[in-house]
Amino acid sequence: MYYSHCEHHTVNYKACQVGGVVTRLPAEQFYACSIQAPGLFLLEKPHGICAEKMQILSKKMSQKAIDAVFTGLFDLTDIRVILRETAPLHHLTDEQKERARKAVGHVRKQLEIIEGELL
Amino acid sequence: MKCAGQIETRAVEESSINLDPIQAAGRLTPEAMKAVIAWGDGYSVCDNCHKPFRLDYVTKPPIADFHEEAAAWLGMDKVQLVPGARRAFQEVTGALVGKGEPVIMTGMGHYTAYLSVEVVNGVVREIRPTADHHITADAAAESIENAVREFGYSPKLVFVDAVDFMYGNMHEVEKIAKVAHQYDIPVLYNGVYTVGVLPVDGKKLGVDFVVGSGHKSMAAPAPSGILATTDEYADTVLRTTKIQGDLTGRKFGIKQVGILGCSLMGDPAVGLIASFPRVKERVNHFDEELKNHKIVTDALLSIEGTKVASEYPRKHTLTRMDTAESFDVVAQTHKKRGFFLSSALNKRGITGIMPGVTKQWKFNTYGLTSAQAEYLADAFIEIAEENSMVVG
Repeated sequence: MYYSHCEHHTVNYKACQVGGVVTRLPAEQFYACSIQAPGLFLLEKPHGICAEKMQILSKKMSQKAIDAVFTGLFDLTDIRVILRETAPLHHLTDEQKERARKAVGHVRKQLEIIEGELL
Repeated sequence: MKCAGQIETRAVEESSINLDPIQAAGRLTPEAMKAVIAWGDGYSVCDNCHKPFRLDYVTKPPIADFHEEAAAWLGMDKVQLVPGARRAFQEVTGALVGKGEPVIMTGMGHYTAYLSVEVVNGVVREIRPTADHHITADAAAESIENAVREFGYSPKLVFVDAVDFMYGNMHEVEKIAKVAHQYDIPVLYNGVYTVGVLPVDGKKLGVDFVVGSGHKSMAAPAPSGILATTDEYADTVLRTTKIQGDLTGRKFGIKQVGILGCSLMGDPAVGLIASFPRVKERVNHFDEELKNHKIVTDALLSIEGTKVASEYPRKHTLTRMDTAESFDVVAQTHKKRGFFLSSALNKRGITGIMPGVTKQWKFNTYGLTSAQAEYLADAFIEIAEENSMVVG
Protein backbone atom coordinates (compact mmCIF):
# COMPACT_ATOMS: atom_id res chain seq x y z
CA MET A 1 0.00 0.00 0.00
CA TYR A 2 1.23 3.48 -0.73
CA TYR A 3 -0.50 5.08 2.17
CA SER A 4 0.16 4.43 5.75
CA HIS A 5 -3.45 3.59 6.48
CA CYS A 6 -4.39 4.17 10.03
CA GLU A 7 -5.01 0.54 10.83
CA HIS A 8 -1.41 -0.18 9.86
CA HIS A 9 0.04 2.48 12.04
CA THR A 10 2.14 1.25 14.88
CA VAL A 11 2.07 4.36 16.97
CA ASN A 12 -1.14 6.28 17.30
CA TYR A 13 -4.27 5.61 15.32
CA LYS A 14 -5.91 8.90 16.20
CA ALA A 15 -2.91 11.07 15.59
CA CYS A 16 -2.83 10.32 11.91
CA GLN A 17 -6.50 11.03 11.36
CA VAL A 18 -6.86 14.50 9.97
CA GLY A 19 -10.36 15.26 8.79
CA GLY A 20 -10.70 11.91 7.08
CA VAL A 21 -7.47 12.48 5.20
CA VAL A 22 -4.90 9.78 5.76
CA THR A 23 -1.34 10.82 6.39
CA ARG A 24 0.69 10.59 3.23
CA LEU A 25 3.98 8.78 3.63
CA PRO A 26 5.25 7.40 0.31
CA ALA A 27 8.21 9.74 0.06
CA GLU A 28 9.30 8.69 3.53
CA GLN A 29 8.83 4.99 2.80
CA PHE A 30 10.22 4.59 -0.70
CA TYR A 31 10.51 6.28 -4.01
CA ALA A 32 7.19 7.03 -5.62
CA CYS A 33 6.13 4.48 -8.24
CA SER A 34 4.58 6.74 -10.78
CA ILE A 35 5.57 9.08 -13.53
CA GLN A 36 6.38 11.76 -10.98
CA ALA A 37 9.68 9.98 -10.32
CA PRO A 38 10.78 8.45 -13.61
CA GLY A 39 13.77 6.17 -13.52
CA LEU A 40 13.55 5.32 -9.87
CA PHE A 41 13.93 1.75 -8.80
CA LEU A 42 10.29 0.89 -8.27
CA LEU A 43 9.08 2.29 -11.53
CA GLU A 44 9.17 -0.79 -13.70
CA LYS A 45 5.67 -2.05 -12.88
CA PRO A 46 2.46 -0.46 -11.84
CA HIS A 47 1.20 -0.28 -8.34
CA GLY A 48 0.64 -4.00 -7.65
CA ILE A 49 4.34 -4.81 -7.77
CA CYS A 50 5.13 -1.80 -5.64
CA ALA A 51 2.77 -3.10 -2.99
CA GLU A 52 4.66 -6.40 -2.79
CA LYS A 53 8.00 -4.66 -2.64
CA MET A 54 6.55 -2.39 -0.03
CA GLN A 55 5.83 -5.35 2.19
CA ILE A 56 9.42 -6.56 1.86
CA LEU A 57 10.74 -3.08 2.40
CA SER A 58 8.62 -2.49 5.45
CA LYS A 59 10.61 -5.14 7.29
CA LYS A 60 13.84 -3.31 6.55
CA MET A 61 12.82 0.31 6.96
CA SER A 62 11.73 2.02 10.11
CA GLN A 63 7.99 2.43 9.83
CA LYS A 64 8.01 3.23 13.54
CA ALA A 65 10.37 6.17 13.02
CA ILE A 66 8.26 7.53 10.18
CA ASP A 67 5.09 7.26 12.22
CA ALA A 68 6.77 8.81 15.24
CA VAL A 69 7.94 11.82 13.23
CA PHE A 70 4.45 12.54 11.93
CA THR A 71 2.75 11.82 15.23
CA GLY A 72 5.20 14.14 16.97
CA LEU A 73 4.55 16.88 14.43
CA PHE A 74 0.81 16.47 14.89
CA ASP A 75 1.17 16.64 18.67
CA LEU A 76 3.22 19.82 18.30
CA THR A 77 0.47 21.15 16.08
CA ASP A 78 -1.98 20.60 18.92
CA ILE A 79 0.22 22.86 21.05
CA ARG A 80 0.34 25.38 18.20
CA VAL A 81 -3.46 25.41 18.19
CA ILE A 82 -3.49 26.24 21.91
CA LEU A 83 -1.10 29.14 21.26
CA ARG A 84 -3.55 30.44 18.65
CA GLU A 85 -6.58 30.03 20.91
CA THR A 86 -4.91 31.95 23.70
CA ALA A 87 -3.07 34.68 21.76
CA PRO A 88 -1.78 37.18 22.59
CA LEU A 89 -1.28 36.59 26.33
CA HIS A 90 -1.20 32.78 26.34
CA HIS A 91 -2.96 32.51 29.67
CA LEU A 92 -4.12 28.90 29.52
CA THR A 93 -7.22 27.61 31.27
CA ASP A 94 -6.93 24.40 33.28
CA GLU A 95 -8.41 22.48 30.38
CA GLN A 96 -5.94 23.99 27.93
CA LYS A 97 -3.06 23.28 30.32
CA GLU A 98 -4.15 19.64 30.46
CA ARG A 99 -4.29 19.44 26.67
CA ALA A 100 -0.85 21.01 26.42
CA ARG A 101 0.54 18.65 29.08
CA LYS A 102 -0.78 15.63 27.21
CA ALA A 103 0.62 16.83 23.90
CA VAL A 104 4.05 17.49 25.43
CA GLY A 105 4.02 13.96 26.86
CA HIS A 106 3.14 12.52 23.46
CA VAL A 107 5.93 14.47 21.77
CA ARG A 108 8.45 13.14 24.32
CA LYS A 109 7.28 9.61 23.60
CA GLN A 110 7.71 10.08 19.86
CA LEU A 111 11.21 11.49 20.35
CA GLU A 112 12.13 8.38 22.34
CA ILE A 113 10.87 6.16 19.54
CA ILE A 114 12.85 8.13 16.98
CA GLU A 115 16.02 7.89 19.08
CA GLY A 116 15.48 4.16 19.55
CA GLU A 117 14.84 3.52 15.90
CA LEU A 118 17.39 5.74 14.20
CA LEU A 119 20.28 6.50 16.54
CA MET B 1 13.04 33.27 13.46
CA LYS B 2 13.72 32.13 9.91
CA CYS B 3 12.09 28.99 8.56
CA ALA B 4 14.27 28.82 5.45
CA GLY B 5 16.91 31.11 4.00
CA GLN B 6 15.65 34.66 4.31
CA ILE B 7 12.04 33.57 4.84
CA GLU B 8 10.66 34.49 8.22
CA THR B 9 8.53 32.03 10.13
CA ARG B 10 4.99 33.39 10.12
CA ALA B 11 3.63 33.33 13.65
CA VAL B 12 1.01 36.07 13.37
CA GLU B 13 -1.81 33.81 14.51
CA GLU B 14 0.23 32.36 17.41
CA SER B 15 1.38 35.72 18.71
CA SER B 16 -1.55 38.06 17.99
CA ILE B 17 -5.25 38.49 17.61
CA ASN B 18 -5.51 38.98 13.87
CA LEU B 19 -8.44 41.14 12.71
CA ASP B 20 -7.56 41.22 9.02
CA PRO B 21 -10.96 41.13 7.29
CA ILE B 22 -9.89 38.75 4.53
CA GLN B 23 -7.86 36.38 6.69
CA ALA B 24 -10.15 35.54 9.59
CA ALA B 25 -12.18 32.62 8.23
CA GLY B 26 -9.32 31.25 6.18
CA ARG B 27 -7.23 30.37 9.22
CA LEU B 28 -6.56 26.66 9.10
CA THR B 29 -8.32 24.20 11.35
CA PRO B 30 -6.06 21.89 13.39
CA GLU B 31 -6.94 19.15 10.91
CA ALA B 32 -5.77 21.21 7.94
CA MET B 33 -2.59 22.23 9.77
CA LYS B 34 -1.75 18.55 10.17
CA ALA B 35 -2.75 17.60 6.66
CA VAL B 36 -0.52 20.23 5.07
CA ILE B 37 2.47 18.83 6.94
CA ALA B 38 1.96 15.49 5.22
CA TRP B 39 0.76 16.56 1.76
CA GLY B 40 3.06 19.43 0.79
CA ASP B 41 5.02 17.59 -1.88
CA GLY B 42 4.16 18.84 -5.38
CA TYR B 43 1.99 16.17 -6.97
CA SER B 44 1.15 14.41 -3.70
CA VAL B 45 -2.54 13.92 -4.51
CA CYS B 46 -1.57 12.09 -7.68
CA ASP B 47 -0.08 9.06 -5.85
CA ASN B 48 -3.28 7.14 -6.49
CA CYS B 49 -4.58 8.75 -9.64
CA HIS B 50 -5.91 5.99 -11.87
CA LYS B 51 -8.09 5.98 -14.94
CA PRO B 52 -9.84 8.20 -15.97
CA PHE B 53 -6.98 10.36 -14.60
CA ARG B 54 -8.91 13.27 -13.22
CA LEU B 55 -8.64 14.95 -9.85
CA ASP B 56 -12.28 14.53 -8.86
CA TYR B 57 -12.01 10.76 -9.35
CA VAL B 58 -9.16 10.33 -6.85
CA THR B 59 -10.34 8.35 -3.83
CA LYS B 60 -7.10 8.42 -1.78
CA PRO B 61 -7.13 11.05 -0.38
CA PRO B 62 -10.95 11.25 -0.52
CA ILE B 63 -11.22 13.95 -3.17
CA ALA B 64 -14.04 12.18 -5.01
CA ASP B 65 -16.10 11.93 -1.83
CA PHE B 66 -15.47 15.59 -1.10
CA HIS B 67 -16.93 16.62 -4.45
CA GLU B 68 -20.16 14.75 -3.74
CA GLU B 69 -20.47 15.89 -0.14
CA ALA B 70 -19.74 19.53 -0.96
CA ALA B 71 -22.35 19.61 -3.73
CA ALA B 72 -25.00 18.19 -1.39
CA TRP B 73 -23.94 20.54 1.40
CA LEU B 74 -24.47 23.57 -0.86
CA GLY B 75 -27.74 22.27 -2.30
CA MET B 76 -26.20 22.03 -5.75
CA ASP B 77 -25.59 19.16 -8.18
CA LYS B 78 -21.91 19.38 -9.08
CA VAL B 79 -18.81 20.83 -7.47
CA GLN B 80 -15.35 21.51 -8.80
CA LEU B 81 -12.29 22.43 -6.79
CA VAL B 82 -10.66 25.58 -8.13
CA PRO B 83 -7.53 27.56 -7.26
CA GLY B 84 -9.43 30.45 -5.71
CA ALA B 85 -12.89 31.96 -6.29
CA ARG B 86 -11.52 34.15 -9.06
CA ARG B 87 -10.79 31.07 -11.16
CA ALA B 88 -14.40 29.99 -10.69
CA PHE B 89 -15.56 33.40 -11.95
CA GLN B 90 -13.26 33.01 -14.93
CA GLU B 91 -14.49 29.51 -15.67
CA VAL B 92 -18.11 30.65 -15.70
CA THR B 93 -17.52 33.75 -17.82
CA GLY B 94 -15.32 31.66 -20.13
CA ALA B 95 -18.24 29.35 -20.78
CA LEU B 96 -21.11 31.81 -20.90
CA VAL B 97 -19.87 35.21 -22.02
CA GLY B 98 -18.68 36.16 -25.49
CA LYS B 99 -16.92 39.19 -26.89
CA GLY B 100 -18.87 42.40 -26.31
CA GLU B 101 -21.62 40.63 -24.37
CA PRO B 102 -22.95 42.22 -21.18
CA VAL B 103 -22.64 40.88 -17.65
CA ILE B 104 -24.47 42.40 -14.69
CA MET B 105 -22.28 43.04 -11.69
CA THR B 106 -23.02 44.62 -8.33
CA GLY B 107 -21.30 47.94 -7.82
CA MET B 108 -19.71 46.43 -4.73
CA GLY B 109 -18.13 43.42 -6.42
CA HIS B 110 -14.56 42.20 -6.07
CA TYR B 111 -12.15 43.38 -8.76
CA THR B 112 -11.52 39.81 -9.90
CA ALA B 113 -15.17 39.50 -10.89
CA TYR B 114 -14.73 42.48 -13.20
CA LEU B 115 -11.49 41.03 -14.56
CA SER B 116 -13.19 37.70 -15.23
CA VAL B 117 -15.48 39.57 -17.64
CA GLU B 118 -12.62 41.54 -19.14
CA VAL B 119 -10.60 38.40 -19.85
CA VAL B 120 -13.33 37.15 -22.18
CA ASN B 121 -13.76 40.64 -23.68
CA GLY B 122 -17.20 40.99 -22.16
CA VAL B 123 -18.80 44.20 -20.97
CA VAL B 124 -19.79 45.06 -17.41
CA ARG B 125 -23.01 46.81 -16.49
CA GLU B 126 -23.32 47.53 -12.79
CA ILE B 127 -26.16 47.48 -10.29
CA ARG B 128 -26.08 50.75 -8.40
CA PRO B 129 -25.82 50.28 -4.62
CA THR B 130 -28.33 52.10 -2.41
CA ALA B 131 -27.23 54.99 -0.21
CA ASP B 132 -26.93 52.56 2.69
CA HIS B 133 -24.69 50.24 0.64
CA HIS B 134 -27.10 47.50 -0.33
CA ILE B 135 -27.80 45.81 -3.63
CA THR B 136 -31.54 45.42 -4.16
CA ALA B 137 -33.66 43.41 -6.57
CA ASP B 138 -35.27 46.64 -7.83
CA ALA B 139 -31.88 48.08 -8.72
CA ALA B 140 -30.91 44.79 -10.36
CA ALA B 141 -34.08 44.83 -12.47
CA GLU B 142 -33.31 48.36 -13.58
CA SER B 143 -29.76 47.44 -14.63
CA ILE B 144 -30.99 44.39 -16.53
CA GLU B 145 -33.68 46.42 -18.30
CA ASN B 146 -31.13 49.07 -19.27
CA ALA B 147 -28.79 46.40 -20.63
CA VAL B 148 -31.57 44.74 -22.63
CA ARG B 149 -32.39 48.12 -24.20
CA GLU B 150 -28.74 48.86 -24.90
CA PHE B 151 -27.72 45.49 -26.33
CA GLY B 152 -30.99 44.21 -27.72
CA TYR B 153 -30.77 40.96 -25.76
CA SER B 154 -30.48 39.80 -22.13
CA PRO B 155 -27.16 39.94 -20.31
CA LYS B 156 -25.33 36.63 -20.19
CA LEU B 157 -24.77 36.44 -16.45
CA VAL B 158 -25.58 38.18 -13.17
CA PHE B 159 -22.98 38.26 -10.40
CA VAL B 160 -24.38 38.73 -6.89
CA ASP B 161 -22.24 39.16 -3.79
CA ALA B 162 -23.96 37.51 -0.85
CA VAL B 163 -21.87 39.60 1.53
CA ASP B 164 -19.69 42.33 0.06
CA PHE B 165 -16.09 42.99 0.97
CA MET B 166 -16.55 46.73 1.46
CA TYR B 167 -19.14 46.77 4.24
CA GLY B 168 -19.83 43.14 5.03
CA ASN B 169 -23.49 43.84 4.23
CA MET B 170 -25.93 41.13 3.17
CA HIS B 171 -27.74 41.55 -0.13
CA GLU B 172 -31.05 40.36 -1.61
CA VAL B 173 -29.68 37.32 -3.42
CA GLU B 174 -32.89 35.32 -3.58
CA LYS B 175 -34.95 38.22 -4.92
CA ILE B 176 -32.25 39.23 -7.40
CA ALA B 177 -32.07 35.62 -8.66
CA LYS B 178 -35.83 35.64 -9.23
CA VAL B 179 -35.58 38.86 -11.24
CA ALA B 180 -32.65 37.55 -13.31
CA HIS B 181 -34.43 34.30 -14.08
CA GLN B 182 -37.40 36.24 -15.45
CA TYR B 183 -34.96 37.29 -18.18
CA ASP B 184 -33.46 33.76 -18.40
CA ILE B 185 -30.15 35.03 -17.06
CA PRO B 186 -28.08 32.61 -14.96
CA VAL B 187 -27.01 33.86 -11.54
CA LEU B 188 -23.61 33.46 -9.91
CA TYR B 189 -23.70 33.65 -6.11
CA ASN B 190 -20.40 35.02 -4.90
CA GLY B 191 -20.11 33.37 -1.50
CA VAL B 192 -16.52 34.13 -0.64
CA TYR B 193 -17.62 35.56 2.72
CA THR B 194 -20.43 33.08 3.33
CA VAL B 195 -19.58 29.59 2.08
CA GLY B 196 -17.81 27.98 5.03
CA VAL B 197 -18.96 30.66 7.45
CA LEU B 198 -22.75 30.44 7.51
CA PRO B 199 -25.31 28.06 5.96
CA VAL B 200 -25.68 28.38 2.17
CA ASP B 201 -28.28 26.52 0.11
CA GLY B 202 -27.96 27.27 -3.59
CA LYS B 203 -31.23 25.57 -4.52
CA LYS B 204 -33.17 27.54 -1.94
CA LEU B 205 -31.57 30.75 -3.14
CA GLY B 206 -32.41 29.79 -6.71
CA VAL B 207 -28.95 30.47 -8.07
CA ASP B 208 -27.12 28.63 -10.85
CA PHE B 209 -23.58 28.90 -9.50
CA VAL B 210 -22.23 29.06 -5.97
CA VAL B 211 -18.63 30.16 -5.59
CA GLY B 212 -16.74 29.76 -2.33
CA SER B 213 -13.22 30.70 -1.35
CA GLY B 214 -11.14 28.11 0.47
CA HIS B 215 -8.56 30.56 1.74
CA LYS B 216 -11.06 33.26 2.64
CA SER B 217 -13.80 31.28 4.34
CA MET B 218 -13.19 27.54 4.34
CA ALA B 219 -10.10 27.30 6.54
CA ALA B 220 -7.91 26.20 3.66
CA PRO B 221 -4.50 27.13 2.26
CA ALA B 222 -4.35 29.47 -0.73
CA PRO B 223 -5.17 29.29 -3.52
CA SER B 224 -8.30 27.23 -3.10
CA GLY B 225 -12.01 27.45 -3.66
CA ILE B 226 -15.04 25.72 -5.05
CA LEU B 227 -17.41 26.20 -7.92
CA ALA B 228 -20.80 24.55 -7.50
CA THR B 229 -23.43 24.40 -10.19
CA THR B 230 -26.60 22.68 -11.33
CA ASP B 231 -26.95 19.79 -13.76
CA GLU B 232 -28.37 22.33 -16.19
CA TYR B 233 -25.11 24.26 -16.41
CA ALA B 234 -22.59 21.53 -15.58
CA ASP B 235 -22.36 20.29 -19.16
CA THR B 236 -21.50 23.78 -20.39
CA VAL B 237 -19.31 25.17 -17.64
CA LEU B 238 -17.60 21.94 -16.58
CA ARG B 239 -17.40 20.61 -20.13
CA THR B 240 -14.81 18.02 -21.07
CA THR B 241 -12.20 18.27 -23.80
CA LYS B 242 -12.87 17.33 -27.40
CA ILE B 243 -9.69 18.69 -28.91
CA GLN B 244 -7.37 16.46 -30.89
CA GLY B 245 -3.83 16.95 -32.16
CA ASP B 246 -3.82 17.25 -35.93
CA LEU B 247 -0.54 15.37 -36.42
CA THR B 248 -0.45 13.01 -33.48
CA GLY B 249 -4.18 12.49 -33.07
CA ARG B 250 -3.69 12.95 -29.34
CA LYS B 251 -6.82 13.29 -27.19
CA PHE B 252 -7.04 14.13 -23.54
CA GLY B 253 -9.70 11.93 -22.02
CA ILE B 254 -12.20 13.70 -19.80
CA LYS B 255 -10.08 16.63 -18.68
CA GLN B 256 -12.19 19.71 -18.06
CA VAL B 257 -11.56 22.58 -20.44
CA GLY B 258 -12.63 25.58 -18.40
CA ILE B 259 -10.07 25.01 -15.66
CA LEU B 260 -7.40 23.46 -17.93
CA GLY B 261 -7.58 19.92 -16.54
CA CYS B 262 -6.89 19.00 -12.95
CA SER B 263 -7.68 22.09 -10.99
CA LEU B 264 -6.31 21.95 -7.48
CA MET B 265 -3.59 19.77 -6.01
CA GLY B 266 -1.32 19.33 -3.02
CA ASP B 267 -1.78 21.28 0.17
CA PRO B 268 -4.56 23.60 -1.04
CA ALA B 269 -6.74 20.64 -2.03
CA VAL B 270 -5.98 18.40 0.94
CA GLY B 271 -6.08 21.26 3.43
CA LEU B 272 -9.53 22.25 2.25
CA ILE B 273 -10.78 18.67 2.43
CA ALA B 274 -9.23 18.14 5.87
CA SER B 275 -11.04 21.23 7.20
CA PHE B 276 -14.33 20.32 5.58
CA PRO B 277 -15.94 18.28 8.41
CA ARG B 278 -15.26 21.08 10.90
CA VAL B 279 -16.32 23.75 8.40
CA LYS B 280 -19.62 21.95 7.77
CA GLU B 281 -20.21 21.97 11.51
CA ARG B 282 -19.11 25.53 12.21
CA VAL B 283 -21.58 27.14 9.81
CA ASN B 284 -24.31 26.05 12.22
CA HIS B 285 -22.81 28.19 14.96
CA PHE B 286 -22.54 31.54 13.23
CA ASP B 287 -24.75 33.06 15.94
CA GLU B 288 -21.91 32.50 18.42
CA GLU B 289 -19.55 34.35 16.08
CA LEU B 290 -22.00 37.26 15.95
CA LYS B 291 -22.23 37.25 19.73
CA ASN B 292 -18.45 37.62 20.01
CA HIS B 293 -18.50 40.29 17.32
CA LYS B 294 -21.11 42.24 19.29
CA ILE B 295 -18.85 42.32 22.34
CA VAL B 296 -16.34 44.25 20.23
CA THR B 297 -18.75 46.53 18.35
CA ASP B 298 -20.53 47.41 21.62
CA ALA B 299 -17.21 48.46 23.11
CA LEU B 300 -16.34 50.52 20.06
CA LEU B 301 -19.76 52.17 20.01
CA SER B 302 -19.32 53.17 23.64
CA ILE B 303 -16.51 55.48 22.50
CA GLU B 304 -18.07 58.85 21.75
CA GLY B 305 -18.25 59.72 18.04
CA THR B 306 -17.78 56.13 16.85
CA LYS B 307 -20.25 54.66 14.38
CA VAL B 308 -20.72 51.41 12.51
CA ALA B 309 -20.58 52.24 8.79
CA SER B 310 -21.93 48.80 7.83
CA GLU B 311 -25.56 47.77 8.26
CA TYR B 312 -26.51 47.54 11.90
CA PRO B 313 -27.31 45.34 13.83
CA ARG B 314 -24.55 43.29 12.28
CA LYS B 315 -25.33 40.15 10.33
CA HIS B 316 -21.70 39.35 9.57
CA THR B 317 -18.40 39.49 11.43
CA LEU B 318 -16.73 41.64 8.77
CA THR B 319 -17.54 45.22 9.72
CA ARG B 320 -16.56 48.69 8.57
CA MET B 321 -16.22 51.20 11.40
CA ASP B 322 -16.54 54.95 11.04
CA THR B 323 -14.21 56.62 13.54
CA ALA B 324 -13.85 59.95 11.75
CA GLU B 325 -15.28 61.66 14.82
CA SER B 326 -13.37 59.66 17.40
CA PHE B 327 -9.99 58.03 16.65
CA ASP B 328 -9.41 60.29 13.65
CA VAL B 329 -9.84 63.38 15.83
CA VAL B 330 -7.06 62.07 18.09
CA ALA B 331 -4.91 61.35 15.03
CA GLN B 332 -4.95 65.04 14.03
CA THR B 333 -2.76 65.98 17.00
CA HIS B 334 -1.12 62.70 18.01
CA LYS B 335 2.66 62.52 17.40
CA LYS B 336 2.17 59.27 15.49
CA ARG B 337 -0.70 60.83 13.51
CA GLY B 338 -2.96 58.17 11.99
CA PHE B 339 -0.61 55.39 13.01
CA PHE B 340 -1.35 55.81 16.69
CA LEU B 341 -4.29 53.38 16.57
CA SER B 342 -2.56 50.46 14.85
CA SER B 343 0.52 51.11 16.97
CA ALA B 344 -1.50 51.02 20.22
CA LEU B 345 -3.23 47.84 19.06
CA ASN B 346 0.08 46.22 18.10
CA LYS B 347 1.43 46.94 21.57
CA ARG B 348 -1.45 44.87 22.90
CA GLY B 349 -0.86 41.98 20.50
CA ILE B 350 -3.62 42.95 18.08
CA THR B 351 -2.99 43.15 14.36
CA GLY B 352 -4.81 43.20 11.02
CA ILE B 353 -6.22 46.73 10.95
CA MET B 354 -4.70 48.81 8.20
CA PRO B 355 -1.88 50.93 9.69
CA GLY B 356 -2.36 54.67 9.42
CA VAL B 357 -6.11 54.54 8.88
CA THR B 358 -8.38 56.20 11.45
CA LYS B 359 -11.38 57.49 9.48
CA GLN B 360 -12.96 54.26 8.28
CA TRP B 361 -11.49 50.81 8.74
CA LYS B 362 -12.59 47.21 8.54
CA PHE B 363 -12.10 44.29 10.86
CA ASN B 364 -13.28 40.72 11.18
CA THR B 365 -13.61 38.81 14.44
CA TYR B 366 -14.48 35.45 12.89
CA GLY B 367 -12.94 32.55 14.82
CA LEU B 368 -12.00 34.46 17.96
CA THR B 369 -12.82 32.92 21.31
CA SER B 370 -15.08 34.88 23.65
CA ALA B 371 -12.04 35.55 25.87
CA GLN B 372 -10.22 37.04 22.89
CA ALA B 373 -13.28 39.14 22.00
CA GLU B 374 -13.39 40.49 25.58
CA TYR B 375 -9.67 41.25 25.46
CA LEU B 376 -10.14 43.09 22.19
CA ALA B 377 -13.08 45.10 23.52
CA ASP B 378 -11.07 46.11 26.60
CA ALA B 379 -8.12 47.08 24.40
CA PHE B 380 -10.20 49.53 22.34
CA ILE B 381 -11.63 51.12 25.50
CA GLU B 382 -8.15 51.38 27.04
CA ILE B 383 -6.77 53.07 23.94
CA ALA B 384 -9.68 55.52 23.93
CA GLU B 385 -9.17 56.35 27.60
CA GLU B 386 -5.41 56.74 27.19
CA ASN B 387 -6.14 59.37 24.58
CA SER B 388 -8.69 61.23 26.69
CA MET B 389 -11.65 60.18 24.58
CA VAL B 390 -15.08 60.03 26.17
CA VAL B 391 -16.23 56.49 26.89
CA GLY B 392 -19.61 55.69 28.32
